[in-house]
Amino acid sequence: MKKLTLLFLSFVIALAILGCGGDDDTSILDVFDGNNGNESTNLVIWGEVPGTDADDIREAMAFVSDNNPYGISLEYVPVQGLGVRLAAARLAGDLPDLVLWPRPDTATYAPKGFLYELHELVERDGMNTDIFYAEALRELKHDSALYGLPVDIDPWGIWVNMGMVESHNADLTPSDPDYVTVPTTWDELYHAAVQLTRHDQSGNVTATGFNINALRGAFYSFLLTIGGEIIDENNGVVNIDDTKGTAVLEFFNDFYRHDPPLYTRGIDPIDAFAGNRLAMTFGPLYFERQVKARNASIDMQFISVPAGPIDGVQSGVIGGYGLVIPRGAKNPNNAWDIMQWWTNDQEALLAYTDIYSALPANITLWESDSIKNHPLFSSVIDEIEHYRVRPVVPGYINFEVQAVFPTIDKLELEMDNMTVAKALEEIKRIGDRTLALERE
Amino acid sequence: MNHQNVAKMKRPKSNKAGYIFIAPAVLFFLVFTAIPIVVAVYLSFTRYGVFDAPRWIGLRNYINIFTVDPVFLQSFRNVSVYVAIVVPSVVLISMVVAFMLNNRKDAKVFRSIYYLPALLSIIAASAVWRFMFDPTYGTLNQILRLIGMQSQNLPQWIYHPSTAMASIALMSLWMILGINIVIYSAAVRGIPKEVVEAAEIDGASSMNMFWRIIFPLLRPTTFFVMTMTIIGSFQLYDQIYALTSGGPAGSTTTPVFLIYMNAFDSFNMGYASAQSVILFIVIIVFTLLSQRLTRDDY
Repeated sequence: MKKLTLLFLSFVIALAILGCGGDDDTSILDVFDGNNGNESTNLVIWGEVPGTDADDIREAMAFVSDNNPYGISLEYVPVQGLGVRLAAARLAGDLPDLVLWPRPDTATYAPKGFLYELHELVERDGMNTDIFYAEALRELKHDSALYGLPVDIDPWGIWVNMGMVESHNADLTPSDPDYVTVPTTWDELYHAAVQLTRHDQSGNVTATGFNINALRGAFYSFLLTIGGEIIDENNGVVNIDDTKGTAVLEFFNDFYRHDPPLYTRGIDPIDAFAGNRLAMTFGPLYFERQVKARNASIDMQFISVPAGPIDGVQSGVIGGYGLVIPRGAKNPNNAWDIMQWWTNDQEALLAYTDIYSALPANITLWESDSIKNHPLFSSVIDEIEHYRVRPVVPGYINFEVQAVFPTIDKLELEMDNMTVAKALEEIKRIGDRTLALERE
Repeated sequence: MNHQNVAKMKRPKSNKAGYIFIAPAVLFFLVFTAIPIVVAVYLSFTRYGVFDAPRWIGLRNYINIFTVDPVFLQSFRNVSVYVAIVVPSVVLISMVVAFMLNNRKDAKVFRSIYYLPALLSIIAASAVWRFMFDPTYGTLNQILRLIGMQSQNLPQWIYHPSTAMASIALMSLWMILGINIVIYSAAVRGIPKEVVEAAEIDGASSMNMFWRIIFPLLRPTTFFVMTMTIIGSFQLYDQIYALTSGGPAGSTTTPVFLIYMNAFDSFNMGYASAQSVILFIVIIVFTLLSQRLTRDDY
């Protein structure tokens, strides 16, 4: 009887606790009433950028703090596990004022009430959102509501170690079949990977031509280079054309099955690239900064993912950060003022671009001399129209982690008699189930 | 006044003091154990994303786990491999080492050495083991090369599905053996000397002594070690997070890893709670099996 009483008591307390979790129905315009008088001008901004990169972010924040017209200062606090930290901070009433937000997370977190919707503020303040790169802005929307403003664009392509290419070509002429060019097509990428890989006498790889470990994460990027889709965003289901999906997986399989092997598992791409043991790897723009921190004199070139054999176009996936205001933040009006100013101010954005090696999401800046004359940014801008953000559906990351990655791993390792056809079918089957769970 | 009446008069006073003394423990138990369990069971029947009120959906989460979820049941198959390696290894190795250390003058030194890995943080230890597992430059394969193993036959450790979970188990054994050796050592020292001496007088060999005297007398300890190891094994998470993130090919994805992802990456708290309840039931079943296995029939 005592146990039953204890259980019943626990149940009542539990329900009472849960009853406190309901959301309020306060209008956004009531929260963002423009009355900054009682709000602090010392704002805290959270982000997931850690370590030495965090110092770059702090430097960019210092520029914003020193130059904004509102006298607002930003203190950057790096956190790990942004979602958990935000949930805990909200329950404790200690939220940051702003978050440097990984845009692909919007579709998962926004419907669960983590962020303030901002489209009514945009309308109220007559803000022109056409100044932002449309794909980046789209990534901050869910069900036509806008949850943030984009800061930067982070295109993922392939980095080429030009020193290794030049060293390989030293005794060759361009007409020589072994000559390597910076790849623009799948065939050229494969040729370069084979040519730039070095083996010792025992057949061990001593220098890797192309970091094949990263291929599974580039599945969508390679689909884009043949005009393919991966998810039907309207219905939240997997939508991979059989011919195109097969073409990408067969291309991957060519790397996996090459004899002698073209790669070893577990290499650290930054370390290997900086040490001239890796000639090409899939990566973001800031990969250059990470490599040059270890080898300042390295000559490296960024290229879009090479064009495929069907409807071929050089392309890639873009990520990047936006600024959002967590629901329940204490200084919402000041936060909104500073994020509007920052995402519009040319000097602040260019300072951020310069410090953090990212392309600004504000496209009006792309005409500025510092972007046009920047060798890296200018080459990216030339091809940016073919880049896409990850599909904007809840659970896309789970789809990749549970359906795409393990299946491509199995194809690579020839597990479960995995063939290309079976792999494609499994990505669709597991992917649809994963996305269905998220839709529930 | 008879004795019954006296007892009735005294009981309330002594009960009051007793309740006050146990109140902190009961409160602690309620807040950190009973309520969370009840909440988790309730949430498992809801759709709940932390900031909205939970919405009752009946058995939908459980049905989805068994009919739609592509990976949760697979995660139990994965963790079973780990349990099958770690649980018997911990019990046997700890028991044998404790027996061998018994009566040695330097036993304390060895026990301290074996215990040292348990003092490390799992994340720090994982960083070291990641280097050791490296197929090309790692310590383990360097040793295997030294003893003549051909490069093409070297294991890929955490980088291949066939060896990944066993590699995690190897690291876990290194970390948890020490504490279990200490537990078994205490239990071995607690065995009555006269029993051992009687066996010696009767001419029992070391093997006979171990299997017929020590092993049966250690059953309560074995039940404790086995139960704690089973619970810990099914809750495998830290090493996975630090070393493999569930890969390669999903071979080290464990139930707790998925529960964490659903709860704190996707914030599908209701679904994660349903998964937790199933894990809870599985652990109870295995604990009861362990209890039967180690039951004292003498």
